[in-house]
Amino acid sequence: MISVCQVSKSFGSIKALDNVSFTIQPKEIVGFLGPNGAGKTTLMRLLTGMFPPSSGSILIENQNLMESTLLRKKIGYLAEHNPLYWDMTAYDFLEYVAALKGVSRHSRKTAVLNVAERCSIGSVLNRIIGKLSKGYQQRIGLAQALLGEPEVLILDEPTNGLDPQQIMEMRCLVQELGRDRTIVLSTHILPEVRLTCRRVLVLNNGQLIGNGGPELASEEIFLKLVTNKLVLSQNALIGDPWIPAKNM
Amino acid sequence: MSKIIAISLRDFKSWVHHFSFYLLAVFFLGMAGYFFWSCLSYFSLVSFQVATNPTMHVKSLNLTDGVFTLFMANMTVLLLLLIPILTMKSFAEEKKFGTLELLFSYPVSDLQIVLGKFLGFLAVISLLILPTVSYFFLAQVVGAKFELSALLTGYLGLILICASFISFGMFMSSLTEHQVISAGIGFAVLLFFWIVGWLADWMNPQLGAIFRELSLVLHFEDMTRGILDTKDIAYFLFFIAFFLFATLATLEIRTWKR
Repeated sequence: MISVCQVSKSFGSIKALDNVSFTIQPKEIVGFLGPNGAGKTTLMRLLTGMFPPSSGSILIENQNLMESTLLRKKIGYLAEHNPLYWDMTAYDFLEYVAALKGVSRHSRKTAVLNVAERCSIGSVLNRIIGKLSKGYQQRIGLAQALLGEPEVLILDEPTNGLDPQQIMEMRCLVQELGRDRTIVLSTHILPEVRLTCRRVLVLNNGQLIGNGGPELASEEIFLKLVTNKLVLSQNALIGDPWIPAKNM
Repeated sequence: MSKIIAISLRDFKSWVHHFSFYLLAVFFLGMAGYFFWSCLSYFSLVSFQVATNPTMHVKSLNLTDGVFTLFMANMTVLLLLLIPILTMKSFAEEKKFGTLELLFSYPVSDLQIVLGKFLGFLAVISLLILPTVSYFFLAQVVGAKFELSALLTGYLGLILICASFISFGMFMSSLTEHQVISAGIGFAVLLFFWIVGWLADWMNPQLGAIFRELSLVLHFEDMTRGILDTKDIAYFLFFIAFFLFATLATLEIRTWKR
């Protein structure tokens, strides 16, 4: 279980997140929704343990994420814009990531081949990443996140830059992966959240303004929320979805 | 340790699989070969003149001072130019392409990242300077027999001075996303550490002594003569540790609560 307790994050005078609290249950697929600059990526980065919050705490299985780098073993992260080493082959890159995630030397090859099969990149494993299509690169990004069998997958804009066919494939893959692990994804595309997530957290100007089922991702409700025409009570924001999720 | 090795291997492979490494290697080994040949030729000429002219007074004439020390000094100037170019990629490129963010999300500590990269670059530089050892074996074929102790301490000094350049170059790279700025400032500051000993002669004795102690050249010179002084080793180790720590602190700034 992930618990985010009264987390705020400032960068100099800019307050990127302001007193955000929520919990995510195991095997939930949760979507962060919000306009650009809402604080989604900052929250994602905080959840990976990349940097600590200015105040508040993030607990994974009741352990503070900032206390040990080894806790990051539980997390797989696909960053926004999917940074990869363009000069490496897909296999070498995944083997490198496996080593960094502490996969033992003798089981690295099996681990790489397993995630390659799951993400359907087996045919391009020996090719240079920089020469692959955007769709394959995104799959490699997802494959590196899956290495080490993390309990939580954090996907920042996983369909960014993909064509409609690739978006559908990625959506199916995320739903399939969500069967046996927690998935947290961020996007500003409403239909994507409605179709993929069982719960939606809406962020605006660094504040959590909605926490509920996929209905929150309807154009009407979302617009009302981000334009402050609809205000939810604080009780509805923390741990108690305002609108019950259909698929839960 | 396996994570440090994985990071260093990635950086090492990334360089040796890149065409620019071979360009650098050709330039470096070509220049180093020329310097060795010219030092040896000059020494040979002076030796001949001394042998044929008994009235010539020469204080000391040996291969270590006449060839090896000079050759090492020339080679270090070359490396002073090349290492900031190699290390400029270390963090600046990872920041630019976002892969540093990826590294931070893995169960790897910042210290492991810094040490991994440092060892990777040290391996690249060692690969670059290793072929120069063959010059001395080739010289032996034509009768130029170098002192083994001077060769050993000289190459140890060369590795230490290269490690110092690398640690400083990595620190510069960790400060910026711009590789050219990293290489440019890195070269300028290392040049300062290079010539600072020469400036000492023009200063008052107290300041001069400090400047002399800061000089990379003066600590290196004795090692090329076969003298192994713990003071020199300690200087290089401190230099390396200081800038590796500074690099680590630069990476850890992100974790400071603001």
